[in-house]
Amino acid sequence: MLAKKIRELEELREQARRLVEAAGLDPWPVIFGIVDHDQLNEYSAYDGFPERFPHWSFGMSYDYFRKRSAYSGWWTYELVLNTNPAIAYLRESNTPIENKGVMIHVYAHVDFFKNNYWFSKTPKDMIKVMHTHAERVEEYMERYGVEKVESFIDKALSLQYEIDQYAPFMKRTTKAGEEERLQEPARIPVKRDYMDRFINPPRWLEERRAKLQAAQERARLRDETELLKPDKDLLGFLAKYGRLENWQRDILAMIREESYYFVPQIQTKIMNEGWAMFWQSKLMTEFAQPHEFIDHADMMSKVLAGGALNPYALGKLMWEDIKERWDKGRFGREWELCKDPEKKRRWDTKANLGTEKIFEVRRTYNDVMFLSEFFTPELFERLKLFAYEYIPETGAYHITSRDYEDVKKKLLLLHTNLGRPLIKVATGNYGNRGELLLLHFYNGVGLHLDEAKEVLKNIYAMWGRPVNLKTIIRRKVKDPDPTRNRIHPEHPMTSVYEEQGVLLRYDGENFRELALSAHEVKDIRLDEDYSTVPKEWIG
Amino acid sequence: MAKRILKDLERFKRIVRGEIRKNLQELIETGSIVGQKGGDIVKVPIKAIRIPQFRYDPHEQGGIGVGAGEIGEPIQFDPSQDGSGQAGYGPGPHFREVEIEVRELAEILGEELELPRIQPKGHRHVLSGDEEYEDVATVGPQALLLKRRAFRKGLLRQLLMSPPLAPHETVVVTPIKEDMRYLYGQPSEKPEANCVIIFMRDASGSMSGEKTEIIRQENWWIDLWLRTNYANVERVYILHDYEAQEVSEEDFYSLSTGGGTRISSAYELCNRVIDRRYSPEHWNIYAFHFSDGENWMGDTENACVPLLRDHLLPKVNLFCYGQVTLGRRSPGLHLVKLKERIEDDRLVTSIISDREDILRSIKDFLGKGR
Repeated sequence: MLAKKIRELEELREQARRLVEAAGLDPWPVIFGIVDHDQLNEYSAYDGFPERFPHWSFGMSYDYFRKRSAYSGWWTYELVLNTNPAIAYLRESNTPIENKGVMIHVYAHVDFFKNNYWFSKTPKDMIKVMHTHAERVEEYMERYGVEKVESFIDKALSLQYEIDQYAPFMKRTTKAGEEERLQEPARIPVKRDYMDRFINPPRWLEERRAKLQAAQERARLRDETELLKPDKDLLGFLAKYGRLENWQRDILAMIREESYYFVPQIQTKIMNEGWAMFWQSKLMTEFAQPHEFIDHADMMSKVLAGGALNPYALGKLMWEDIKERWDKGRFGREWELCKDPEKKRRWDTKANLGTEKIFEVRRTYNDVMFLSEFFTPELFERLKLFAYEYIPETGAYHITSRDYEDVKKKLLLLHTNLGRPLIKVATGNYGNRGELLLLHFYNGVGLHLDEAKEVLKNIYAMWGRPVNLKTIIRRKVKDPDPTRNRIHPEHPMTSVYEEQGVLLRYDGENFRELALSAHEVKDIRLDEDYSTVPKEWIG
Repeated sequence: MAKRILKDLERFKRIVRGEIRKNLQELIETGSIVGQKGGDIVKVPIKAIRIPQFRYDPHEQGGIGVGAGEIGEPIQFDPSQDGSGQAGYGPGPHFREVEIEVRELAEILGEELELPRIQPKGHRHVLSGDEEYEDVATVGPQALLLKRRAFRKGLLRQLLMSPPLAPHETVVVTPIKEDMRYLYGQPSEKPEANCVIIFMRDASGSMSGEKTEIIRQENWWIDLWLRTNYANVERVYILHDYEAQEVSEEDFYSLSTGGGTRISSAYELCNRVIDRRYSPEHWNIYAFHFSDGENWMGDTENACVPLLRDHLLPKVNLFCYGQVTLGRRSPGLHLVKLKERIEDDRLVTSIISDREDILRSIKDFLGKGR
């Protein structure tokens, strides 16, 4: 019985593999595991892994998935690991048609993992890594006590995304080479030797040499926590310089390593899910038997529910749109300049470049690039999207705009820097007192201050000295004019706000807020604005 | 060795339990759980389970939505609360509140108040239990119709029987009798204890507002405890002023009248309801009465006391009277008079002068284990 089932599944897998390869996808081998409900919930809680380090938050996820499947019949649709060979799970009670769908879906994900640039630096044996992390944390718990270790992990997790997601892609010059280069001041190149004495006079060279040496001396004396430029990798900084025990350092390093593994998945959520849905939908229409087609359509409709706010649906729609546009030649200068909507609607040059284009996009893009380039006004018009903002005066969220630019702006905000505020560590020797200084690069959207304070407390526990955060908050300067509301009752009125720089300091016992002048926060004010509140609502 | 995930779950549950126990008083006072409708699961906001991170202020961040609506129109949801489940980007779901099974919550309440387990009265008479739905049939009652499946069958049938469709052509599916699918279940017989809760409340003008709210809170928790102790619970709501009448749950907490107060009218009706519908042989009967203690002159001594002593108390597991005074000393003497004249384990009284007393009052009522 079991052998028969496995044979059937193996046959299905072969078919699926042949289909995706014929379509041009290029996945790693995939090992499919067959699991029951409870195992599926367990793996879902562990983000797909068979093991993770012990922590109650996985228990919370597990509890959540269990209740979801018990009370609402909802189950994890597909679970696949970015490893080579990839590992994916099939639910024991899946129907054959569900299995077909899931297999194609999984192969498309694995194709994406293998070929998308943003996944190129993740380790491909993450199961082993997670296993050793689990064992190490367990060992620490045995040695130092469960409570102590778990409460430190709580703190560490509050910084889990304070890493530099672009760091794995940077080529750094070696320090040794840099120093060597700095021994001798650069000379201005000369064409004829006799000119050298005049263009690079010895005295000038001598001066520059002395300056260089002084700078090197300063650099040597400089506390190494005084960074030359702000660094986004706060987690790495604390692991290196924090006042921590070795086991604590190790835990920070583990969490950081896991974050670097997860970040590409967050960065490409829309693309990756969309890619899988796109191929599943396309290939299933060829793959499914006629009588299975309706079940397939039914399954798709469940996963795609929620419209443009669902990354599966938005991604699929965008891939389809790109394919169609490049098939019909709807790109390039002529297309951009065409202002006639009727002509645009009928536009078809039979360019037939769609397939080529989507494979090119899947190779190098991430969600932010994907959205900024392919979330077009034409696509936007089909989606009935709006932007909303919170208006404190009414205590409610209001629709503020149905404008393409506004909606796109908000959409990008959700995905830029993983949808999180940009925080960097500036120095570990602020005010020459060994204090930590963090900078919040403000783009017009303020921090959740209460939560930020909790994070600062956690950082203090690792740094051991006062922690400072430079940020900007919004300060009300003028109430709305009540008479104007009578003229425009159709929209809410809101106060006039002003930006105010603040240095938030936690010294282990108390918080202190110090007002900063506009000049003092010039370095952290980004030239960005995400507000969509119409001007006529203000004041 | 136990599975890792089970250990994680165990520690998570311990944290939740600890937090709920620590904040039970606050949870009850703010009434943040009460009012969630039906189901086996309630949502409990718990701060400790949220790992703080640098995030945008959800109010300043705004967002995007989909659907109809004019610019300027308020939208009907609070995105900052929409945090359970898929929202947020990152591995794993993100939480702001914990879903907890009602049974678990009742257990915590029981532990915290040291409530004894209820010993149900002897129940020779038993009732058939749940139906377990485990199959699909082609005939069945309307209530068990699987609509989605029926439409799917209909669509399949129509596609197979009609000429091929052009792309983008719309199909209107009309399921016929053969397409219908129903859940099918076998009723399983098992013995169960039945329980009826009779809630009574004085609806005269002086009882409105905060007092009613307190009663609602308290009743929710009482109901929670009883329904986890009995498999089958029915509820009766009686409002009274000078006269009493049976009302729906909704009306029970919202109606108020201007008349005087004659408590015995409610006790009489309560007695009649028991006699007609809930024979004490088969039912565990709980009666809860709340008022501010004011009563028609002589009614307590001459009507209520005999009714309770001779008719009600012999039939019920518990008769609880809560006097909701809200701050000031109540001029009402109902409670004092009852206590003076009746000595019976089944009669429990409690004074509730503000929300902080709810927890204690629940313990007064349910602490007997009856």
